[in-house]
Amino acid sequence: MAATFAFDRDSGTQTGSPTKGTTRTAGVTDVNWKNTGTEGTAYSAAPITDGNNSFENWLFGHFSGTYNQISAGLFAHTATAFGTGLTLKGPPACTGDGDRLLYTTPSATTNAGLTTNMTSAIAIGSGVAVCFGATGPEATGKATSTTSNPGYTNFLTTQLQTSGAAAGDTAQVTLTLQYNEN
Amino acid sequence: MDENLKEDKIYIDAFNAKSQEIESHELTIDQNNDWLLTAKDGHFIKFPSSFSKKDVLKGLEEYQAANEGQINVEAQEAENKKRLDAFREDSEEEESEEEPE
Repeated sequence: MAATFAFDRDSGTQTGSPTKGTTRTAGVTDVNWKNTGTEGTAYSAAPITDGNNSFENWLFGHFSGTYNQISAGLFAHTATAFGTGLTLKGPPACTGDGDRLLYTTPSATTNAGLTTNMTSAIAIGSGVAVCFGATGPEATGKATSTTSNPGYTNFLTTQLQTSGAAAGDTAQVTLTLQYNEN
Repeated sequence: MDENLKEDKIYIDAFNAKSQEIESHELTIDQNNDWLLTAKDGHFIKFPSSFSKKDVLKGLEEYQAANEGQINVEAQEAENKKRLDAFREDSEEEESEEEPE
């Protein structure tokens, strides 16, 4: 038996306390940074004009199935380089409740809370630490491991920023979440 | 300051996450009135327009702390190739030494 994993995403206006998105989409396979926070809008219909940022993308990990504990989480951009003029910003390292990002309604405003530069492909071992907990990515009680089932990571928020970028689609890059399960 | 940098522009030393080095970045304000620091290799750092000078300097310190130690995959692969090539060169030298007269 093993844990079942999926990337999920929150979008829409912030709601509740702690805040989360009004829309929660399960099993997303692509980030698709775009000039909108609406889940159903294709990235091709909402391109980012050079000099601007994408709306933040509020991704998170979701564990179910059978496991005793999930721990040792790391998140990083692990394959394929971005072209010139693109910077991918990501969440700060999370080692406890106080480090987790709190959801805000997605916008193209430069998000100062995204302190990790994820532009270059790096070894997953040098990725940022990820926390886990019960209920959802927004919930309190995040720690470096969890026995809760279902379990969730903190928000793995990213924003694609541009300055001097060429027109057209970006390279298709790989974002990796590494974790231990037992 | 680098002698090649123009005097009428503003440059700030800042951490470049790709090179993992402190490098000179040109400081400008972009079309959205955000702070924009750009290195020679195109690496850039943005801060919101609401940031004061003090916030920018503090943000740069936090940026360095958050991104130091990243192991760039391309750089690591190049380093690994270099290490293996050193053995290839050694074995080629040994082969040439063993050639009969």
